[in-house]
Amino acid sequence: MKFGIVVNEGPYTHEASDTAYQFSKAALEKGHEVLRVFFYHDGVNNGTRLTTPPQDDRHITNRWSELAEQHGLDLVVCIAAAQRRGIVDPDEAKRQGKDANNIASGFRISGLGQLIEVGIQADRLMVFGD
Amino acid sequence: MEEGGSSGGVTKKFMYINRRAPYGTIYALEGLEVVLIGAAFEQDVSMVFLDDGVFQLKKGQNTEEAEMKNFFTGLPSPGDV
Repeated sequence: MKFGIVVNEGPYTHEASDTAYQFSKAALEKGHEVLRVFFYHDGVNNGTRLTTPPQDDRHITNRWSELAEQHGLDLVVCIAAAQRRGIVDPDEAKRQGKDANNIASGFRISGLGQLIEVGIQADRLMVFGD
Repeated sequence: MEEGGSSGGVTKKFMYINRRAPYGTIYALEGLEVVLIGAAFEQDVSMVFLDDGVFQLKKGQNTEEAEMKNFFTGLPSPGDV
């Protein structure tokens, strides 16, 4: 089965990102494909490498980055949602004249077309969060 | 899934569920953005309004004093659909 994953909530406040992560990991381990994970609404906040939870807690951002590295997962952060919330990659920082970027390893910033595209290509589009 | 249209020749049905009031959260605004992109990709797009989402269809909304963008002026009201 080909899955597309949508994460609509940020880390820690809601469990949506945890559930999406567990689902993606389980699907990959069972031999399914995860074509893309798309982060929208506050979900874009999962993609900042400045996330620093207490040491005895799970590191939601790093966990996504590691899963991406292990499985070649495509983690896409919506550009419009990211701009509103201050999630910036080196290209965007340059384009918008910002003095820094904060995108985490394995994440990339792109447009909503990437969400529609995975909706077309996947057998199932799984939406996590409100 | 049906053949036809653009996007690799595939058109799928996308239904967007709107359960939130238009201005209390950003869900409605950002939700509308996805709907418009989906339509631009010539997908078979529909929207359903449930719970407080029905407030998105109210005519004559004035967001001036809340200092928010009135982004729902383009949506038809139930009477028009």
